[in-house]
Amino acid sequence: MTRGARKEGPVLPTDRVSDVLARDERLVEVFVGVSQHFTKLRNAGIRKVMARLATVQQAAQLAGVPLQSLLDALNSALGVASPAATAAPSGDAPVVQSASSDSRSPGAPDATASAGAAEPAWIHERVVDLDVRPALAAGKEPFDTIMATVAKLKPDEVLRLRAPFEPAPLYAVLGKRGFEHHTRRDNPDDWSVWFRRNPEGVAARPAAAATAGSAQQPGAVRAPAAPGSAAAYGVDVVLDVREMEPPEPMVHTLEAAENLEAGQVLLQVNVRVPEFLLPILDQRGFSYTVDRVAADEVHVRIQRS
Amino acid sequence: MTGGSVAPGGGAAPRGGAPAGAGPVPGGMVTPGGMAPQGGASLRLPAEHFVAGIVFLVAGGAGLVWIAPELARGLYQSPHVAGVTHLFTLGWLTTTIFGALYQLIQVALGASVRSERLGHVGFWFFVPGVAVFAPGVMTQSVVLHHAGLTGIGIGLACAIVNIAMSLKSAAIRDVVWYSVAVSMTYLCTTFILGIVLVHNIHTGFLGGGRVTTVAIHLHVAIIGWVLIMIAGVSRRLLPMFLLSHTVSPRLNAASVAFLASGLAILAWGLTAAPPSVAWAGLVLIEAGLAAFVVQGARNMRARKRPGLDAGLLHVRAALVVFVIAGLLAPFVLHRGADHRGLATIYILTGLLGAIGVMVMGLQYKVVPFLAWVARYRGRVGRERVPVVAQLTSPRAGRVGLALALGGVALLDLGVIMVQPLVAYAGAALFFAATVNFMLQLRHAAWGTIA
Repeated sequence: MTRGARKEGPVLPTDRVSDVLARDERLVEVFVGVSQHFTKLRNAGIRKVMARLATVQQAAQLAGVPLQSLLDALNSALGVASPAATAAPSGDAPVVQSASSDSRSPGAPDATASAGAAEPAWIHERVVDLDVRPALAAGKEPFDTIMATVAKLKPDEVLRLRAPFEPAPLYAVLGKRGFEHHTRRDNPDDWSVWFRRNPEGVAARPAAAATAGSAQQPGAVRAPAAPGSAAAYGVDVVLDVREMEPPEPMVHTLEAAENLEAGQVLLQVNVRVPEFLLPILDQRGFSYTVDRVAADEVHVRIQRS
Repeated sequence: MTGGSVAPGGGAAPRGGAPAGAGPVPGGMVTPGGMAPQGGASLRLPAEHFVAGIVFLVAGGAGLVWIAPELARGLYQSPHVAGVTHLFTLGWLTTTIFGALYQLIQVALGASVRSERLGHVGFWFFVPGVAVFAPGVMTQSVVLHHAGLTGIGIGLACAIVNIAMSLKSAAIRDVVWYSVAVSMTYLCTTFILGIVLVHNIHTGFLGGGRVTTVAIHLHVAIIGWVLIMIAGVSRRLLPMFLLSHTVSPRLNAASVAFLASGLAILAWGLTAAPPSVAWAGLVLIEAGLAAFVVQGARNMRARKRPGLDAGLLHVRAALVVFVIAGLLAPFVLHRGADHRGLATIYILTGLLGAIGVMVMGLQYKVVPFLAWVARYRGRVGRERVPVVAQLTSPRAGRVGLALALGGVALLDLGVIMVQPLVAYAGAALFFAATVNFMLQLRHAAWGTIA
């Protein structure tokens, strides 16, 4: 169960499937009862990957079932009242849609998925293949392997991932790292997704590189404007200060904040609420929100008032 | 998915009932359960405590030289020794801990200080109270006893009420919270035992039980008030300083639990129960000490940066000395008051070598940081400012550590050999360490930084 996950109360659209299943593993059958699409959850490896990344809302979208139906079934099994489904805003949840238009519903006929949809030329260039179907069939979690392969990709290489299901949560995970994707379904349990670094995600923000102050701020990571990532965080600069000793987080954050342009947002990722920083931000006319996302992870979004 | 501070839907909810996803607003808005105090914390309250504490530390160091001959003869119960001990325990350690708490409860527990004014009032009763009481103990003056105890009592009451009410509003209740609560309880116990002992000076009503009462008073103060506090707050401080956030904090909680329960059982065993109960209490205390040392060692091993600055060198050295003090404890319990030299060595090692060096180390990290914030927060991000490390001298810090450890070692040797000259040398070294420490922190606060 993820840190901060609720163990009681109704299942909500934003709850991760893994957290829901952690409350009672038998809920797998409830998922299956709502849609046969969820039979994959019976596979331990798939459960580890998909369930951890996907929310209930995303799962409903993937399966093509109404969110309220899924919520009602889960909450009824848990014996709690089901709230009315209020879908998370698209900016708050990882985007489920693929960058191309051909992979939405698993129920769509194969012909629709693979024929007629224009495939971008880049999917044929310098492809690195990774087939995780055997690993998943063996009950193993391929997430680390996928991320390790991504890390080794050269800038002009393309990763082709083959999986027995649409790896929709990966769109957001890799989207935040500046990857775009193209998806094709060859069979109900044979999906190919091509990932490549979005060249526009870097070129679109030359001003950000210039205005963010000194180019080499330790821990500073440019949040590129790749599809999904900007919407997920809504920031222009991400500063991870968890490996810095006080007052380095304050120093680097204030330096970055002073270089923000109007409308730009800086996200500080910290271990704790930066008690000494916040009054200084107040004094200098910045506005901010503080969000504790985990027991030892705090997000502070800063922008000029 | 969060710990409760994010509204359903995943957006950061601003404070004040604004709709989720409304976005940041001028002046800063904080999620429900967020912890930013509007306007920030005043640094004056902790600063005045730290300044007073360091003055008492240097005074205690000077007093140590004065009482060196008595220490060499194992006369740990003499009024002079008791008076100088209170300069360290009440004057330095307690004042410093109060100052640190006024910062820590905000940073670590998300609680605002209930009343800054009450904090200042408490300070201005407590510090003069100690300044009067310690000489009163040395000279056995009834007037100074009563005047000092009155000031100390009012000061303690103000601080305890202030911190307790601050704890009540804390957003986080973890091992840090519980360690503060437990140690404050033991502080009250320490004060009550202190009143009993002062009353005994005038009436002798304790009779033969005086030595046992002194032993309990000392352990309740050092372990119950100071060590439990350190064990708990190190849950936050060490990972912050060492960047060792991946280390599990379970041993911090175990340490606090064992120390707290063991101390109560030890006290019971020393007074109204068979000796085996006292030994059971000691075993628990040793377990708590071991948990604390192991937790500290794990944090040290998991640190992100290989080098240790002066403060962390002090902390690491103190962990070693804690082990030595822990090894001495069973022998002291076994021999009781019969072996005065052993008891004197145990107190010197535990109080000065372990607790003292540990607190110096933590102050080396906290005080320059607060001084840096006070001096440069208006300029950070807009112009180049010194780093915290420039506010103190690394070399002087290492020299100070050597002086402190060498001083304690020579003092112990002087006791073993019953040699006043050796004890004098040790006391002089420790005094030099306190002066060096004061100059370092003075430079951090007011010195010219290149």
